[in-house]
Parts: sequence; structure tokens; C-alpha cells
Amino acid sequence: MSVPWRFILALPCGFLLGVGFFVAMLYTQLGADTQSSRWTYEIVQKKQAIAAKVSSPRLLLVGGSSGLFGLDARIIEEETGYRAVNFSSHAGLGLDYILYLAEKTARPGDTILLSLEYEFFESGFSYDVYDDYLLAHDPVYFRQLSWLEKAQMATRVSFTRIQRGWSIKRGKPEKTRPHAPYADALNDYGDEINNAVANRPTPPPRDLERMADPLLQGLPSGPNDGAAALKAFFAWAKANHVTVLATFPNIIYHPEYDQANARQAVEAITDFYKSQGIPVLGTARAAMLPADQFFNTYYHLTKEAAEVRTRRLVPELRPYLPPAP
Amino acid sequence: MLFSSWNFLVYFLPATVLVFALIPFRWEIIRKTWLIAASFVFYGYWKLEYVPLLAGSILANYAVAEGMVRASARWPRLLLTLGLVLNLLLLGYFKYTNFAVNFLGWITQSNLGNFNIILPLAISFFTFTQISYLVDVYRDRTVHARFLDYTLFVVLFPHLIAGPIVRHWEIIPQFATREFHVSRDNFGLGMALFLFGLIKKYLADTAALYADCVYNGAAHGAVLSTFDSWIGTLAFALQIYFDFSSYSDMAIGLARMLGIKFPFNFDSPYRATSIIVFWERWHRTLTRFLREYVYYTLGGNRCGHVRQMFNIMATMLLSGLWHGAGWTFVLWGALHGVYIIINHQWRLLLARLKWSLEHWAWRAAGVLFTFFLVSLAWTFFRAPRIDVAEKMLSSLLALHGVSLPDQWFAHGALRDNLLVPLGFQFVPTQALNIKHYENALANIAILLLVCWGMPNTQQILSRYHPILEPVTRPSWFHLKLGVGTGLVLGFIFYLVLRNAYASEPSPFIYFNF
Repeated sequence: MSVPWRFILALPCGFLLGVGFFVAMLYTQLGADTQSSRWTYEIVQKKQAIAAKVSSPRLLLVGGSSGLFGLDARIIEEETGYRAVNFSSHAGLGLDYILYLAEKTARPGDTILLSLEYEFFESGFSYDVYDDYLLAHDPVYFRQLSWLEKAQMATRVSFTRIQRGWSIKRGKPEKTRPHAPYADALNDYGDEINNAVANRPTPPPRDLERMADPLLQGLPSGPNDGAAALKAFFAWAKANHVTVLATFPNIIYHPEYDQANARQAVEAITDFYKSQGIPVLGTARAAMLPADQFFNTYYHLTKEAAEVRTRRLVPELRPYLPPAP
Repeated sequence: MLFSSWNFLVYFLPATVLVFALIPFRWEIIRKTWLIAASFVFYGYWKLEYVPLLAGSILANYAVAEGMVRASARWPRLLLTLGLVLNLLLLGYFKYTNFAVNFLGWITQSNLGNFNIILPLAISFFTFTQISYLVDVYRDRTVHARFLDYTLFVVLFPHLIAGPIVRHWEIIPQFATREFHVSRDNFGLGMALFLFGLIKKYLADTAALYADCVYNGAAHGAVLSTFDSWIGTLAFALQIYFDFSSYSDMAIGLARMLGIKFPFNFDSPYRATSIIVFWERWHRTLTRFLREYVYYTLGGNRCGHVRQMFNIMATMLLSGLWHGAGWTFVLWGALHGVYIIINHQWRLLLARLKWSLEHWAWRAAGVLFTFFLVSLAWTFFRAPRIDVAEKMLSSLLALHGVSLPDQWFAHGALRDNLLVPLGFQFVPTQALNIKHYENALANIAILLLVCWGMPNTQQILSRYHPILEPVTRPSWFHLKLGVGTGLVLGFIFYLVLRNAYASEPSPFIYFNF
């Protein structure tokens, strides 16, 4: 017996049916407010509101939670007289989306200081937080994704997440857990204020023990998704008269970071920024700090350490800021 | 590269099949070279350093075989010995050095340490494939394959990593036929087989959840109840069944996409009515290899009854060692040796008494008893150490009384009024981390039903001649490859791809051998 053509043709049709089914699943649950995405959403909302209130030109500190915890916009403003907003939120949102938020917020004449986690320069980004957030809180952004991106998202979103979204849409909201202590602890500049040493969790979470190892494995030497997204962002900034600067994220220091592979990874990032004409403030080594200066993960500084780190950064930042308006 | 991994499904397989399909049929050398290159990429993806080992092994074996074909008089015997020694040394060094060193250390009561030797993927398979070729050339000097054909026969990626252990006369002649291309029939049937395999892999991974809980718990000192031990044992029996069945289907399907038919490798072995029949159905190509190249070479059943039993035991011990360099595998092989010997005696007794056990009830009892024995033996196969296997067996056979998990059988009428008076013990087994016993039981029951109630893939697709030999036992169910089947299989393929995207696929158990 021969295998008919219609069977062969039905195989890709079945496959596409699967893709379509799951994309449709995503559409049916857009806007379902999951408990897991709420903290990130509230942070982003507050930061956008703070930024909207501040008139340009401004300095926007952009990055993941390393910037949220590790840089202090209030001190920058006090020291330089230049209006500053800590616009950093959550690295889990992904570089594309973080840069998208920055583009949406920045105005001509603004300056953006990027403090991007090392993982953004690696491949293998975990999309869990991004997908969860987008489906729950940014249907507009989801809709503007290309069909290929939607298909990719439909392929990676877990059954559990889809099930949760459905339940919420069917009128069964998730139980609200108490907020993380830092969820709504922002000052008027968007800085985290609940990360003082006195508030540090005890015993310290395992993350601190485990060491920050993104650098130890070395980073890809060639261009990756992160580099491509950044290049597009730099082009956008140039076209819109936005100045972009870069610095390194704060991370727990380990002697292994003095080894060749870690040094090469850092040099690759510095070279990349320089090749794009982006000034790099400070050194990676200066942002590698002892574990006792960290709050609850290897990227989150305590308030006290963030202030010290920011004061050290200010002299390097000052030459790039236009005179205070 | 795993057959169920993202890189295999999305990049390697489509590229390999597409390019092979596009190369004109008359460009024979290029077509074969392409498949060889793809197979080396497939192998090298795991560890590039071992590609020269595979290539060197192929070159050396081919040289020895060619030497035997061309040489005269006593040289072929010497060359065969040389070839066998080289192959066994290679296998012995990589697979058994540490085992031998540990054994020596145990005998001499000294710590001889361990060598840092990484077992090259598939070494057992490509070594056996090539040994069979050498022996066949020695037995029949007219056997002669061109180098390109020989290389392709050894490295062809669908069977390279975990079998089936194919023979040259099954595969190499197919390279010269008109069937050796990506036709509608080959591709369609190959895809169907491959997708059936992917579905079975999912079933295997489901069973693995429970097997891992119990065996890992037992290895780390967790308390086991009789009930948990049975869950772990049945779960592993089902895991390895679906895992190897899935691998075999995928291998047969992948080869078929390229126009190559593989031999039948996995014939519903849990429906075997005796241990002898079980081994005729489980990993058929390995059994065939051991029978033809070990058992027959030792004399088979031609040297008297006692010698035959010895040969069986030696063959099964070797089979155990082939599966893994450890005492647990040796014991597993020995246990099966004992089973087969007893089975032979039982057959002799039945013949002497002129009893027939063909009634369906006897056959069902035979299936259940065989499954019970095989499951007990798997305990040695799965346990990381002998003491863990002992612990499992002692619990399985309730040597210290029948016990049940405390957290599942909560206090209540059933427990207090019936189970306790009957002498059941209750033990805390939280450390095993089996959260939902109901799910475990339901999954095991469903998988057992599939094993015992469903025809196998080759039977389901027998109308399309999926394998080299005809499918002999008819099935009550045949699948027609039409629009509906295509849509369902395509949909399932997407689900599998989702799974591969979201998580690292689990390796096949037989990849370790």
C-alpha cells in the first residue's frame, strides 16, 4: 500500500494547526492579570509615571534590577543638578522590551545610561518573565509582534501558564500573595529604597552563596541577539537626539573574575560599546563588589552600597551631561 | 544529538533529508558522502574529540576486512583475530578499564584510583556492528563492500547511537536499489514511524518521573514501603519499555525517510509468554548478535545439555556486561541466564509430560509471570548500586512484612479496621517525593494497558511494510495514513516540538551503552 500525498500534505497542516491553536490560546487570555507578573507591572507603571512627570532633558537609568537596586538617581541629581530617573526594572523582561520601554519614554535631548546585566550578552535568554508580563499587561506590544514571534511565543509558553491565564479569564483570579517587600518601595526618583542592610533577608538567599557566574563561562565573542538589539537601539537614539552611555552592572566579586575568560568577556562588551560610539563609564572591575554589599541576589546592591557606587560613578558621568537646565 | 531535541528536529533532520532528496539519484557518491558527513556531524555534536576515534575504528576494521578478502591461506584467521582483539581492546579500554581497576582494587584490598575515561557515545554499537562484519567476511570471503558503502553502513545516523545492530547484508545491498531515496512512501511512512516514536518517548518520560523518585530516594537512604517499591519497579519497567520502543521506532522511521529499511528491533516483549520468547522480542538485533556471534561460537546446543546451559549463562553474562560496566549489570545478566536455563528445563518437562499450555488462560498467566520476573530483574539494571537493588528487592518481596506509605493511607476506617488488623505496616515515605499516588497508579495502569492491549507500531503500519522482514503476527488494528492521521500526527509533532523548545529532552536509556 502506498502512502498518499494527502497524508504528507496533512502533516504540515496538522503542525500549523498546532501553532494556530496555541497562538489562539494566547489571544484568548491577553490581559489576564497573573499574580507572578504583577510586581514587575507595578514597578514599570510607577517608573513610567515618575518619568512622565519629569521634564526633559533627563537622565534615564536603564537596565534590569541590577540598575534598580544598584544605582541611585536621587544622588545623581543632587550631585550634578541634572534631573535623573531610575528607569531600571527587571532583567527578565528581556533586552528588547527594556529598550522598547526606554524608547517609549525617552524624549529628544534626554540621556540614557545603560546598566545591562551580563546575561543580555549571552544566548539562551529565559523568556518566562517576559511572556508572562506581556500576555498579562501589554497586549498592545503582543499584537504588534510578527507572526513568527507570536508562533515562537506560543511554542514556549508552558501549559501551566496558559491554564492560569484561562482560569483568570474565566473569573477565577489568582490569590494575591503579599508583595515582595521592595515592590512598591520606590522614591520619587524611581530608586529602590527598601534594600538597606537592616532589611536584608536573614539568612541570605542561596543566590548569594552560589556566586554570580555569568562571566565565568565567558560570553559569546561574536554578535548575538543582545548586540543586534542594542545596535538598533543606538541607531534609534541617534535619530532621536538621545545620548546613550553605558556602564557595568554591579555584581558580587569572585577571584575567578580575574581569570582570562571572564576578562575577555568584559573586554568584548567594552569593545562592542566602543565600536558603536557609546562611551563606557567606569570599569567592570569597579562594579565587582564584595558579597556583604549585596542585598538578596548577586546583582542587587544594598541601599548603602548603591549610594557609594553611584557617588563613584558621578565624576565619570558629569562630563557627558549637558549643563543643568 | 538526541532525536527529540530541538536542534535535531529543527535543524539537523530537515537539512539532512532535504539535501539528500535534492541530490540527483545518479550522483551516487555525493549522496552517500552527504549522509556520511551528516552522520559524523550528528556524532560529533556530542563530542568532537571522539570523531577521529569513530573514523579510525572504521578505517582499521575496513582494512582488516579487505585484508581477509585479499589474503590467502592462514592469513584471514590471523587478521580476524587481530580485528577482534583491536575492537575488544578499544571497547575494553573505554568501557571496562575503571570497572576492572575497581575490581582489582577490591581483590587486593587497595585503592587503585580511577582513570578519567569518558565513554565514547555509541562505542558498544559501532564496535558490535563492525565485529559482525569482520566475522561475516571471515566466514564468507565473497562478502565485499566498497569503502563508502561500508562507512555509510557503520555511521548511518539513525542506528549509530543505539542500534538496531544491523548486519551488512541487510543494509549495504539497499544502497544500490532504486528505493534508496526520499520518496513519498519512504518519507511519509518514515515520518509516521518517527512520530509514533516521539509519542512513546513522552510516555517513557512520564513513567520515569516515578521510577526516578523511588530509585533516587532508595539510593539516598529514604524509607521505602512495599507499595512504593512496586511503583518504582513497575514505573521503570514501563520507562525502559517505552524508551527503547520509542528509540527503535524513531531509528526505523529515520532510516525509512532516507529509503533504508531496518530490521524489526522491538516486538511487544511484555506480551511474551516466557523468558525465552521475551528475549526473542526485546532488542531483537542484540539478541541475534549474541546468539550468532557468542552463543553459537561457544557451541550453542550442539555440545550437550550441560554445555548448552553453560553457554546460555556465559552469553547472558556478556549481555549484562555489554549493557554496563558494573556488578549490577552482571547480576542482571546472570539473573536472566538463570531464568532462561529454568525456562529450558520447563520446556523439556512439558515436552516429556506432553502438556500443552496453549489455552488463553495459561498464556495470560505466562505473560504475567514473565513480566513479573523481568521487572524483578530490572531492579538490578536500574539500581545505581547493589545495596540499593537489595533494598528494593527486599521491599518488593515484603521480606520484612508488607508496608504501605503512611501519608497516602491516612488514618481512617480502611486503615484502622482492615489494614492494621491484617498486619500491614505503615512507614513514612515522604522523602521519596511521590506527591500524588493516584496519578502514579493511573499512569502505570494506562501504560500497562498500552503494553498489553495495543498492537505495536510495526503491526499498526504493517500494510505499508515498515521493516525489512514481513510483520508476521496480524493485528486487530491497522492505521491508514490519510488526511486525518496526517493532521493528528502533525499536531502531535508540534506538541513535541513545544516540549523540546521548553526543556532539555531526556536522553534515551540505551544511549548509555
